[in-house]
Amino acid sequence: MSEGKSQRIAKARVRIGHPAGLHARPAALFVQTAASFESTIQITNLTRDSERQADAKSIISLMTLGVEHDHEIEIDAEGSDADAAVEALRSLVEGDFNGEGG
Amino acid sequence: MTAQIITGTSASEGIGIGQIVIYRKPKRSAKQSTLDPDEVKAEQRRFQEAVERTREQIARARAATLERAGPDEAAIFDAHALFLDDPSFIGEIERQIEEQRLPAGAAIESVSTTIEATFAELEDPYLRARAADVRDVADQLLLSLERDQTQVELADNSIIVADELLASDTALLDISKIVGLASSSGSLTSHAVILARALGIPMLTGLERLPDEELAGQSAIIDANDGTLIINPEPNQLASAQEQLDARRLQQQQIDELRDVMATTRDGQRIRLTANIGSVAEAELARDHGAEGIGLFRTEFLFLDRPELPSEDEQYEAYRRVAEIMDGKPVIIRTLDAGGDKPLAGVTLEDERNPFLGVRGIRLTLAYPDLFRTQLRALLRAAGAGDIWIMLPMVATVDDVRAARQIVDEVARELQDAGLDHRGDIPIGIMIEVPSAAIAIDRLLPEVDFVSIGTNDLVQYTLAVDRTNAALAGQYAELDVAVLRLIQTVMTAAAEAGKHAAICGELAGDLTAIPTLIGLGTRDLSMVPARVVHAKQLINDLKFTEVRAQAESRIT
Repeated sequence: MSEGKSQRIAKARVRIGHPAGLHARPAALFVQTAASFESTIQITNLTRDSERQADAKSIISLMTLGVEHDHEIEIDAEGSDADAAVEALRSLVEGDFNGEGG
Repeated sequence: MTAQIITGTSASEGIGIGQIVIYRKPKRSAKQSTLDPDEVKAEQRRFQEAVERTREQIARARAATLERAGPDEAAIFDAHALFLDDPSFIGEIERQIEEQRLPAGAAIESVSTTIEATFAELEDPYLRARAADVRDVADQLLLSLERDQTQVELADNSIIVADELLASDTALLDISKIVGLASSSGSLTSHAVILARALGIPMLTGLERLPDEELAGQSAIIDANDGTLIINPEPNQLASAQEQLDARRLQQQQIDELRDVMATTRDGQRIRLTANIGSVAEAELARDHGAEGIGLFRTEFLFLDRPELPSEDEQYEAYRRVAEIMDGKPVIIRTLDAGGDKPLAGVTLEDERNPFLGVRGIRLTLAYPDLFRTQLRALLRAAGAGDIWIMLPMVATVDDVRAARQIVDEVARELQDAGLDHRGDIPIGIMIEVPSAAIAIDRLLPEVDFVSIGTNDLVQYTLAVDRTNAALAGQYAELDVAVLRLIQTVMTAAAEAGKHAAICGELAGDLTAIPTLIGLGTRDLSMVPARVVHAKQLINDLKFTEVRAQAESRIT
């Protein structure tokens, strides 16, 4: 986040509908999508532990949250493209990860 | 030179004859010096080059595995590739090189150890096992730091011996030249082992020691059935190994020839042969051996030896996978058959003086309806994907069946109301393993869609002999006249009622017992997958009229 750009904060809560949870292919798609944004993006697994955050751009960090089917997560983004990042991740989850894995 | 034998644990069955290739990895360095400030830039570059080389290796390993084994096995490498873009892994290593001036090797070691420890603390066994993936990628990075690892040139019939074999090693070596793999470390669930099994390569893990360096190139036998690596074998050892190899080839040929042949006696009596399985992987074995369905899918593997009960989705996934593998053939899934003799998460049973006459099988699931409902929901949902039948264990009376059916109906209504895909009219059957169920079979048949005799328990309850009691080994007579009469009673009554009846106990796969069982009226036998071909060979040689007469004489 370089100086001079507008810093924005965005957040969303979303429930995981994919039967595999946030493991395997869904996790890979999620991380790849997050990595395409400049903003810092943190994920919280509200169902398991609302205190712990993980970096959405790190598959290892994300896996340790143990996000399973039907868990609710919070997406917190901060940076110039925070709104777009949250929107992209939300629609990825809500569309059950059917999108292309860019 | 005399033969040298090194023992190990069999990880993938089979025998191979060839030459020893010793495959060494650079030792991990334990010393942790720091870099001079002017060395940091060069070390960062060295690390970045190692990352790129590793990325190429992973891509090669993925392509090779996809071609040789399939997409499920190749998926391991997609996860590995993502680790190379991971800020908490690669980013953290880069940070330690720059800020703590650690050499790349030490930084890789330090970061991967921390991540492995984090995974090891997780509850989910699937995630815990991912520590090995981190380790695999870290090892590849360490190796890439030292040299550019390209495919190792191998002679024909190589037996690879290494201190450790990673999934990436197994994938990068030229499989067509490998007749065996052996490593001193490595767990039985590592990716390298899974790949070796998928590729049908004999493999030993946990070798007691590595052979001396100068033995490289010597002739050797890897016997992964027996758990031995024999270096410089004696002529008689070679001959015996060759004989076993030939026998195995012949057996495989027979399996291939008989896979699609139905078991039919010489006088035209069709016998249906299905398989007993206790895991998803065994379903593939059943299919490959030509089983006409799954006659008994034990679900205990999902429940036992774990800190929490399996979720509905985990169960659904396992049941659906098996139905999918069997591709439309019937799959009989037995609901949890546990008892007070085995601990189960969330279930506390009073100490029972006689657990085999206690709260087990259907009695336990009826006593813990939430556990039962979760399994039934998973079964009814999975039945949308294939021909799944539900089998209830330890049924003694009509009341057991009615109580269970009521819960099945309730669960079906719940799924209906929730608008979830499921099959409400799933066939429901029972195991016949309690003598009362065999004796009063005419009362039970109208309540069920099918029955299957579990001979192990039926024999032990009928004769009042504990089959694990060595002092009574001689009295555990599976073909005792009382047992045979019960089997005939069940088969006759089921045939009259037009209900499907099978035998799925160990007796059903006993080649010496099969003629008698068929003679008593059995048309459907379920056994371990590998036995199906042998049973076919036997049955195709039998004459039904003869075995019927022989069976009659045994019970009168």
